Amino acid sequence: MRIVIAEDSVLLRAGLERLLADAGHEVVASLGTADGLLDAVATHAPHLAIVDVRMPPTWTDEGIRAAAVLRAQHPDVAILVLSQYVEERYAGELIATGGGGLGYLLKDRVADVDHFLADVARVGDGGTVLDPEVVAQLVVRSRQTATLAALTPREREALGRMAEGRSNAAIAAAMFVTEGAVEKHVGSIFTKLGLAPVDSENRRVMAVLTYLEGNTR
Amino acid sequence: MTSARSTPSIEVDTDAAAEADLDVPGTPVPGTPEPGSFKSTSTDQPRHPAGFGTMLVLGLADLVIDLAVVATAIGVLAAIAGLGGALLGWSLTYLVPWLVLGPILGLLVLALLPWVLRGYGWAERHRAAAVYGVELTGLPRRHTHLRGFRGLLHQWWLDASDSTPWRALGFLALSALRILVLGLLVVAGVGGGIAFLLAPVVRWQADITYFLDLPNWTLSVLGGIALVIGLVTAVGAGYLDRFLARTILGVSEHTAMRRQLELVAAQRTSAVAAASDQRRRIERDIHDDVQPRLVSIAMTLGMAKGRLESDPAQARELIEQAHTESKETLVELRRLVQGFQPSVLADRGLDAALSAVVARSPIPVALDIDLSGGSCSQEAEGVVYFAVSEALTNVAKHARAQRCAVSVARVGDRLVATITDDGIGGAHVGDGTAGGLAGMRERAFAAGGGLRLVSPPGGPTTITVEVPCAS
Repeated sequence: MRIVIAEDSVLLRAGLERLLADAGHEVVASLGTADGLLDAVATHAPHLAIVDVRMPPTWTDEGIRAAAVLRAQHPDVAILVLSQYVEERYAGELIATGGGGLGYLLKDRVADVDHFLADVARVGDGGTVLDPEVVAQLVVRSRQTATLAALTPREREALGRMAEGRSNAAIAAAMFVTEGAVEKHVGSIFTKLGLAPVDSENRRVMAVLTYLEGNTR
Repeated sequence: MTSARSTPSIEVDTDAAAEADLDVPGTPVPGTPEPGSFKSTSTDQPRHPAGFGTMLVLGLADLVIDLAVVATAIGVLAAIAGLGGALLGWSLTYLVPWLVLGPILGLLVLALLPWVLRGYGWAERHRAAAVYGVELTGLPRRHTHLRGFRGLLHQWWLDASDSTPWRALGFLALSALRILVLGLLVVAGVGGGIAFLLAPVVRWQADITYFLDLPNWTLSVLGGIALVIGLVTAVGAGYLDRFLARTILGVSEHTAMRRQLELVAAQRTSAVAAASDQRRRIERDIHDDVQPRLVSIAMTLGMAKGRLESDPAQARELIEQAHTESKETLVELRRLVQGFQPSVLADRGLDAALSAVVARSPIPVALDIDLSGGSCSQEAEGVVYFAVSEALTNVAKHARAQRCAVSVARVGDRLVATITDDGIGGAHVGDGTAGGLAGMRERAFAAGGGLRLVSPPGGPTTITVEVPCAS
């Protein structure tokens, strides 16, 4: 996969380059600011852009804003946003840009190399990956408390993992149950939330996120 | 001037009183009116220049009102005197009870005097504003930081040692004198004048002779002079009233500024204390949590390196261990760093920033935010953010609560946050059970607000933080 990186920490940038190269990806450009990101994407036509949230000059939300512009101008490029801490509000803004191929993860997750590489691959394939911390915030902020309370604890756990963008197989492994059991949970969740069944995994994530996000403010 | 505010860090209550006072400067103690507001531009000049006619009407009206006030006061005094006399007569037969009752009654009257006078001065200042359009600056009130009975005593001392009640007393005395002297003069002048002027008509109609049989023109002149004297005195009484109110009830801008400066200095002390408290905690957290973890990781990796050749299986296990430990350190570090100032607070506001705080809480939290009244200054939002964060940490650590509710709302020009849990209660600001709440209180105070903790043993615990929006 061809990847562009925008990350202001030299150490982390070098680490990411090595990690991705190790896994067989090609880092075609790596930048220290969000400024050159659009040009780099236009020049190199990568599959994926990995973007840090806090970058010069203000160290606030440059990455989020750059991601929104990138999404608007190059909707076919997948975006993985990395951040020191994750915020439900930023996630909402990213999701609102629409489309698949979207990831929002804590920088810490890089430490779990295999996991991280799997997430990179999934986002590159057009999937959606959200950090568990963000999902927790989304659930807390959701105004759908009544319906959420109607879910069993196992269903709530499954809902959280769905929102993170996990596949049925991954959810089954994490919850120590069979895929069949997960399918049953998922069906039950969709019925209880009053959502129409969806065919693809990514559209399922979007349905769940829209449900949680909707009416949060 | 007692320096009630100069050491706000020692105002922490360590006795059993579970309820702390809401130390919001400018919030009046119930029953005592708010001293002159600082926001109004203090000016000695009337808002609208009063002409002679206006002053005449105002002066007359004032005299009538003041006569009524003084008459009431005299009535009350007479009643008290009567009661005293009765008590005295009674006490002659029961000397011993009088020895007890007398001092008690005396103390009660004495105790209430500063506050009653405060209220009187406040009312008079407002009357001056309403009647003459003279905005008078009152001395900003000093508020105690002590709680419970000691707080009450200290507040009394602060109020009694202030000039405000005694200036009001002086104003009352001079006003009474003014009304007695000038009031009589006005009544005599106007009444006599009218009588003299009407005398010829009455005499002609009723065909009777009186008033020394003076000729009509003399009566008219005398009546005119008396009437003029009465009216001029009435106007003079109005001017004198305004003069007295201005010189006695109001304080100069300089004096008020000096008092405000004391307050600001105390707030700054508070801010400095809060900042250094936070630095201490950060230093301690890094020292106690992060550093040992890094040392441990380095040690584990060092051991793994030594066994790489001789015992690869164990080396692998050690590396695995170091990896896990390093990830835990990352979580710890993130938690720690987030305590400084989350960037989302700056660029998306309080509402967004609280999501993460609430989601981190291990206890279920119901969050209710209503900032429809408009957002507040970053400082104000920062204070509320950290207070909620701190409070939720405390709930998780000490309260043994099942659930917790956080509500944040803008009420008027203040930002108010309430954190309630159904835990065991019994928390105090200052001891271990309320963690950094003492620091939180300092921060809130520094921002011109306050923090209240209500935590009876057995719960529930409620923490209220409020700060002015434009701090």
